[in-house]
Amino acid sequence: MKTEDVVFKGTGQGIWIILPHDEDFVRLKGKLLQRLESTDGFFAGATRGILDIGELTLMEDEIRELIDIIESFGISVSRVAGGIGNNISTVAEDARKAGQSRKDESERKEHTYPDIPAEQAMLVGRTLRSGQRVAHSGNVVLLGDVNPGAEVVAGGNIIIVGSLRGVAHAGTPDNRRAVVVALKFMPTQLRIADLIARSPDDEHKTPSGPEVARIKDGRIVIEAYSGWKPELEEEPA
Amino acid sequence: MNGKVMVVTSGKGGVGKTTAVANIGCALARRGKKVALVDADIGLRNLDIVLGLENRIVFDIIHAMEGRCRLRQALIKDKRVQTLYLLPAAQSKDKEAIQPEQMKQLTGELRDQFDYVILDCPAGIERGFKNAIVGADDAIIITTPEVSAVRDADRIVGLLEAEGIEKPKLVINRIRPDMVKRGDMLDIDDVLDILAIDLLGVVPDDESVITSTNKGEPAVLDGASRAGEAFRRIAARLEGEDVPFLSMEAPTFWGRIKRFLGAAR
Repeated sequence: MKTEDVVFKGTGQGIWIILPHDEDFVRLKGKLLQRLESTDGFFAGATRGILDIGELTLMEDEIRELIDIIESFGISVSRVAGGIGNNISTVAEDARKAGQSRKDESERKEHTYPDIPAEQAMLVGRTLRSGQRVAHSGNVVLLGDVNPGAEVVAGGNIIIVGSLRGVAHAGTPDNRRAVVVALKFMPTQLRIADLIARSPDDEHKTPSGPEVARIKDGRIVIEAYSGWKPELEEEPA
Repeated sequence: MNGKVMVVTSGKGGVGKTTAVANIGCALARRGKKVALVDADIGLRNLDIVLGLENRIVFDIIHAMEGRCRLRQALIKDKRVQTLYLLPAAQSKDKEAIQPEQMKQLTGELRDQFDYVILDCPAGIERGFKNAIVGADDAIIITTPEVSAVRDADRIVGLLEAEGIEKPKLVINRIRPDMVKRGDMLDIDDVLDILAIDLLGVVPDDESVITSTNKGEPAVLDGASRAGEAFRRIAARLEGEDVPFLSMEAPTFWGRIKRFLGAAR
């Protein structure tokens, strides 16, 4: 059973702050705030807080926001645990820097986030329905459909083995090399890095096969997947 | 008795939840099942009107929950079908008047006394929705062949899954065969393509439903009503019978249904 509420656990490693599995970020924030308030400053001054996000998929700025909340209660967060596949941390260096922007240099040394490969992939084995959202700093592979009203956000590429009818945002915030591949391409809106494309208002063509979206000459283009070859950054020798 | 608790929900308002509850409940009761219909739309009481039982309300769901009457006193026996009962909503309260635990306890009590407990869920995804689904085993999702209704239904399927109600069943309401034929309306395939859940029934748009609703006579009691026939078949399917879907008269319809059934198996 996954927990409903935020749980505190003191261990030799520090204080674990274990988040419940709640996909609704606003509600999650609320639960965290509420729980922290209920501690009445008991943990204030703790320097080894460990934020355990479990199986939640959170964007860097979301994690940063959570860390800010925790630190506003006087608990320094030294580490983020959990994430997909329970690898330690999905937080990139960026999150750490921004999260710590208010802290001075000497304090920052205590905080050590383990590095993660930038292109770590996340596998989603279900259909995303309206209102559901998946976000990951690396690549996202989704086995299922992305329905209208649902959203996939990735720092890297997005591969959808199914129909894309909702919104996909690859290469956030600025990776213009990212691509979106889907078996059926009918997105409400498509974003790659800082570019946005939307489906035409009048045409309702049903695609015949898998397609790929990428940035070409400063614009998002969609073309048939067959014949397309990914330009890999580093070809193995 | 260990009955089944089903919630009828849609997300979007006005797609025919209350009418579906009244008709499916009535059809099941006519098959000899003991059925309780619970109006969970606190503050916007409607189910009693559709069933024509408004003037019989003395106690309501809030009274029963607060212990101001016994549950049996709040249950209104239908005037036509002997085994059909209604637990009406309160009209003067709002959704906040109920806690999920209270709802769970109530459905638990009803489950012991009835074969089917059918909850009429309010529109929306807030407190009222959460209260209505908390005690349910299964869900029936009502949608119309409109993009906005399908979108909301999709959101509901996701929310139900998150609450542990897997595999809800779908009823597509108010299909207009002539419009589908002309390509002006989403067809059943389009809806199923997005929602990808089991189809429980298709109900044609039928003007007689409006008059029967206003008169407080559920359409299933009218042998000539096509919508009534569709709801009777839905009840039969809930009972485990394998009945064909009602023909929508559009020439390609059967081909589609067959294709769907073929694909589903």
